[in-house]
Amino acid sequence: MKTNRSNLLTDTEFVAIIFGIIAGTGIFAMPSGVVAIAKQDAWIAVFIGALYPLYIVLMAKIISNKYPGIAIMDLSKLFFGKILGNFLNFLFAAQWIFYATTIISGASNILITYAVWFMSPQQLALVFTLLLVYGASKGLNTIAKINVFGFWVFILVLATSGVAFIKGNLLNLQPVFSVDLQSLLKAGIQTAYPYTSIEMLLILPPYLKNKDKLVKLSLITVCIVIFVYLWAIITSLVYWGPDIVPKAFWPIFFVSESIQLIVISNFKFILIILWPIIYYRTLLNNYYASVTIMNNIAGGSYKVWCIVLSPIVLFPSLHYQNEVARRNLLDHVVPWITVFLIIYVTLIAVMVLIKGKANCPLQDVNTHIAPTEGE
Amino acid sequence: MKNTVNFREKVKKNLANTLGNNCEFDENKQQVNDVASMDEPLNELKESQQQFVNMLHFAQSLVTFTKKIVSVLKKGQSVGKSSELGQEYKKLVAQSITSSPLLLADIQITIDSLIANLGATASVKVKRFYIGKGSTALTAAVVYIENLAKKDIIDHSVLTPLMLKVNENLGTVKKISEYLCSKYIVSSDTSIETDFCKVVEAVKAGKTVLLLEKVPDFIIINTSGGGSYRAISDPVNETAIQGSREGFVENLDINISMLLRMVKDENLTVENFTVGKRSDTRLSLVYIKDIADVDVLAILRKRIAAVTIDFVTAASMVIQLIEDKDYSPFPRAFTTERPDRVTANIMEGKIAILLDGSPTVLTVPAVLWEFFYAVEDYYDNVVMGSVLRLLRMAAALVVVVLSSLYLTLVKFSSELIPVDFIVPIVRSRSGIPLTPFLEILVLGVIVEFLREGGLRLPSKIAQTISIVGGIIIGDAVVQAKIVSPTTLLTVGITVVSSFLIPSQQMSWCLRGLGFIFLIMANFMGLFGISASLIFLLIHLFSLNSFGVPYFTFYGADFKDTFIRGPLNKMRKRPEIIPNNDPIRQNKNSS
Amino acid sequence: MSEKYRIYLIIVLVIGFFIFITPESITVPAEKIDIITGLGIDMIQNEQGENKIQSSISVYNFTAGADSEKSSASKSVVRVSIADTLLDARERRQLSSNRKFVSSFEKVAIIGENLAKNGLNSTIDFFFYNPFSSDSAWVVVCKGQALDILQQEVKGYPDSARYIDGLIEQLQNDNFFSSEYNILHMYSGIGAEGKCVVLPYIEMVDNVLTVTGMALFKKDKMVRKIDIPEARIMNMLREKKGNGILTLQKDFKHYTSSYIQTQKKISCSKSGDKYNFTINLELKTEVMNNTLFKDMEKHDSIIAEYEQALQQQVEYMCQEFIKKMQTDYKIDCLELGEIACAKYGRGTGVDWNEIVCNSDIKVNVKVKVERFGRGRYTIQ
Repeated sequence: MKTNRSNLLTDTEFVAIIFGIIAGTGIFAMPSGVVAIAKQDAWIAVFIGALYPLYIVLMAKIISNKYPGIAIMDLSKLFFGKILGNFLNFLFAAQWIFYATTIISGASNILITYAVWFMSPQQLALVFTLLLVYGASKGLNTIAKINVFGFWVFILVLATSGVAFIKGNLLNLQPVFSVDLQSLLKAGIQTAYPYTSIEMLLILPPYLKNKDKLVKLSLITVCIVIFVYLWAIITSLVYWGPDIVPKAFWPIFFVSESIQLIVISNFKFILIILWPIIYYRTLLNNYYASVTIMNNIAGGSYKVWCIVLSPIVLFPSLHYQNEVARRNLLDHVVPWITVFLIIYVTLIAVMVLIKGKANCPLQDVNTHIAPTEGE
Repeated sequence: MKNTVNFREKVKKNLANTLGNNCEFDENKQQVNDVASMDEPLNELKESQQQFVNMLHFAQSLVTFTKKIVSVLKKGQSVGKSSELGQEYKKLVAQSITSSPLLLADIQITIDSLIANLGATASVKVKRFYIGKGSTALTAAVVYIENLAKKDIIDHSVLTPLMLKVNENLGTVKKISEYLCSKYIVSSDTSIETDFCKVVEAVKAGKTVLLLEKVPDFIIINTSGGGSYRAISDPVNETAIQGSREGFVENLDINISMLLRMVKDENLTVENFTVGKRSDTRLSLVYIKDIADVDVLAILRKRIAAVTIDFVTAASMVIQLIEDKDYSPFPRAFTTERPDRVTANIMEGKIAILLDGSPTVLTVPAVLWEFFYAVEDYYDNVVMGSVLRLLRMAAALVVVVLSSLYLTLVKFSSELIPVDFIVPIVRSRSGIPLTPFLEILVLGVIVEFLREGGLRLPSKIAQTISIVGGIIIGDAVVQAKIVSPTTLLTVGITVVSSFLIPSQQMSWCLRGLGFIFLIMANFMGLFGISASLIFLLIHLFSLNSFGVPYFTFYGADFKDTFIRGPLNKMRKRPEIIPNNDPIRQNKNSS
Repeated sequence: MSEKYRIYLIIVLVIGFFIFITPESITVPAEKIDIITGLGIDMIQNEQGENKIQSSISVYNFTAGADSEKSSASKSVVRVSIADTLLDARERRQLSSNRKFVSSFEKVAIIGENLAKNGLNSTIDFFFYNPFSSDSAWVVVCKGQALDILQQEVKGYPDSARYIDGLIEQLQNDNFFSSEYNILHMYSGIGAEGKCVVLPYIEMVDNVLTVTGMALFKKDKMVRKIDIPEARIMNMLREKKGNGILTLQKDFKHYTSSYIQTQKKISCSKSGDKYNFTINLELKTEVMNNTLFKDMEKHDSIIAEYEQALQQQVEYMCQEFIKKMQTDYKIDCLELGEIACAKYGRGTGVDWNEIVCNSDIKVNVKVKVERFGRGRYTIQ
């Protein structure tokens, strides 16, 4: 009998990877922006922002009905020809690279503020990049396991903010549904940024063990993400109230910090060791996505691409000046990226619907599936 | 060649003249076929003819062999004993004995070539004697290696009956070897061998060979087990309070017999190999055929066959040669000296590797969690077993992380120290000249010195060392203000925690990791610990042990990793080890 | 093969060089920091009449040497400096201290009355920016200057800050105080809508540091100090739970004292523009000293009589306090605004102090006697 260990992703691993790339780092800073606009009804805005990932899942369903187990890069090459398709894929990869640089910078900022104030952002970015190259070169199996581990660490870190329900005041959430719709919509758009990166589920179909469960697993992931965001916003609100939450840069940590245990008077201690693991996991997913797409476009060895892309990720991340500048840049750039993605994915779905599988067989396209074990 | 052919033609003509037209010489099969029934003398002639043909065959192969040697030597290469030509040479030697009636005519020649092949001339013993009486007495000789063969068996089972009890005329017996084996040799393990190479191997293994003059067979009697071996006793390094007290010994057969006693399943399979070009050490794979995974077995066999080394004396040498070649300090095979642990592992689908001369047995594939299971885990009840297991894992974490955490707190992040502790820490640290990093390093080195020293000394002195080292030096180093008391406490807790880890290799590996964490923490503070943790996780997640992932923590194995579930709930074998038979009790018995 | 690894090794070493070379001078190990127990912030006026910040700290005094273990708790040292802002003052103070200042160990932050009346906006921002500031430190307002309080010698304690730490910590056991007087609660009290900060007020009484009242804040400015009798009632009405002692006294010899545990519930309604608040107080009492109501333990009717009398007494006290609050203090120190804005909308820009002072507040008290202690001894 064959070994029951296969090289493809199991259901748990798939959910963990998609969850890892969505609910990575945006969640820490998100409540402050959203609560500033929508006050005590900020948690409703989470549902509005969730429309975007649900839309992507719908597109994925349309695509996978006709072309199950095929990554979106190959489809774009198929429908748009090699040059245009590869150009679109390149833009797609550029998105992941951009996010990777912003995450490195954001992680450096928060770590330098809380833990390693004696190090420079350049050193931190170097360390992250080295770890990235090492982790990505080990292949998808290792990345999947890191994601599952990171998922549990994330849940643990988030659960510590549950202290809000003991010490907080539910009055802070009231009056419910009293904020006007315009503010809610504006806040909803603010929550859309933490939901981006769900497009990774369009890259992963070749590696999935149960390819027919793609849509179901994605929906489960989106539900978990919504719940986690709700938890984040509600605990911050309940503990601090709608007036104080916008004052903190990272409200979630602000809640967990205030746990006062008897001996460990500073709970930050444990959190500071666990945060980099969560950041790293998201970073690794972004980097893996970009390496996979570039490998698909240009061929070659997967490991070489891991090394080649690292300076491209490293150098921009050194040039974000401070946290405020970074957030401003994101506020300006992310809507454009989102618009591009919506157009890209919708186009492909439309082409799938129009042309159908019978007219466009996949043999002409060079489908390059990267190895799952780092060789 | 030409002469041989002419010679053959002449013989054929001669034979035809002698026998008339009643028999044919079959060129293809190189033997004489019966056309009609013959008398006995004709049979004898046929046998001689057969032997002659064998000799011709031998001459032919000798010529080809010489040609090959010459061509190799012309190219400038050397001919080694282990190369292809060397193997062919051995076969030729074997063939020479069996194909030459001239050689067999004098038993001394056989004995000489046997001794030449054995090599250890000093301890090879030969006993010549006669079987039977009268003029038809057979000359026989018994060859064995002293201290490998049990001499009393030779005396009682072979020499006594053959020398004293044979009262018949053996000249008329057709198949003399079988006849002797079934009638006179009083031994429960005899075999008849025609391949000379196998005879040499058997004598090297301690068996005795009985040579008979003019007979092309060899009788092998199993007399191995001579000489003295260490008796089965308490395994020194793994003691159990409730379990059995048996431990493996150096003799491979005794070890296998211990396993066989515990597992009486007919599917228990033993595969034999030899490793080591000069030591020819025997290696056995023991597994249960319908549980163990075929792929892992295939990988194992391939890797064992690929081992090229001159000698192996311990199982841990073997594992270094066959394990996955990624540079990882983590042990990928589980070593133990206890048969009950090996049995438990075989039952899960693992494969045991036993080496002759080594009391430690390896089981592969191994996963990380196994190194935290103590001997008695399954003998205790659920609650106690689970608590102890969690304790061990906490100890492992302490070993890796505690020193670096302490260093970080004292050196970089003083704000994070709990308020109630800061005053005693600062008070104890004032006046210490060394930096915290050097303090921990110095203490760590002293501890390692003590540990190594305690291993090498005889046990009585080792006890003194631990008292002198631990208490006196520890106290003195604080009084002399070289290290602070809190540092000493931290390093002491780390050392004590490292005692909890049941496996020595894992303990060493974790201590090394702790050292790496310390260096990273020295440069990067808390982030250094996180970065090292991330690096460690990536490394662990990507490790494989013979094709099986080394570290997983999700799936249905939860019952047996962090806690120890009740025995009657463990119906399925652990999923992480690939196996053919997931339900434990589901044995397809015939 | 080895060429490839050599290149990798060189690259990793070069990168490692850049990562690991950290300027060691800016990291300060634990033995070289100042461990402070108390922080004092004052506002004083210099000769030109300008307002300046006076920042004082009391630090542990570790004397290195053989006697340090033998001597009892080593005395603390107070360092002080004056400058325009808090951080400037800190920097100036470093000029005369032999260790680096690290601000996460203090147990008490004492704020001088002048600064409290001027406004704590910049002070609270100062605490908030620092991720390691000691958020669980007690905050108290003191009469006069915080420097004097810090320099005050308390017998048996190395410094007064540690004494004050214990003082505030045990407040919650009596007088209906709560434990919510630390920096964390200041964050949520000052900036949040409908909430009001109150802090203990300490001063020297007969050379003993005593809590003599509460300081009431409007946003971040202190507007009023109330004495202990009024503070007790305010605490009863303000905190969700409290413990204290209430006495019904007829004359010097005849009174009944009980240990009370209060529980409060507030409901809010609105009629037109006017708000109506109802505060329901439930008092669980344990009678501790009874020379007034004879034979209370034997007759239910006498218990009911006592409960009725206590109820009326407490309602009267509460109404008196509320009247004073609405007319005299003009602050919503009971945090009724929080309830109202949760029900009727936040961020509408109204001033809850004003609304509460013009609203109708009713207090309903319910008394329940639960325990009597070991027995009753009185002979009369």
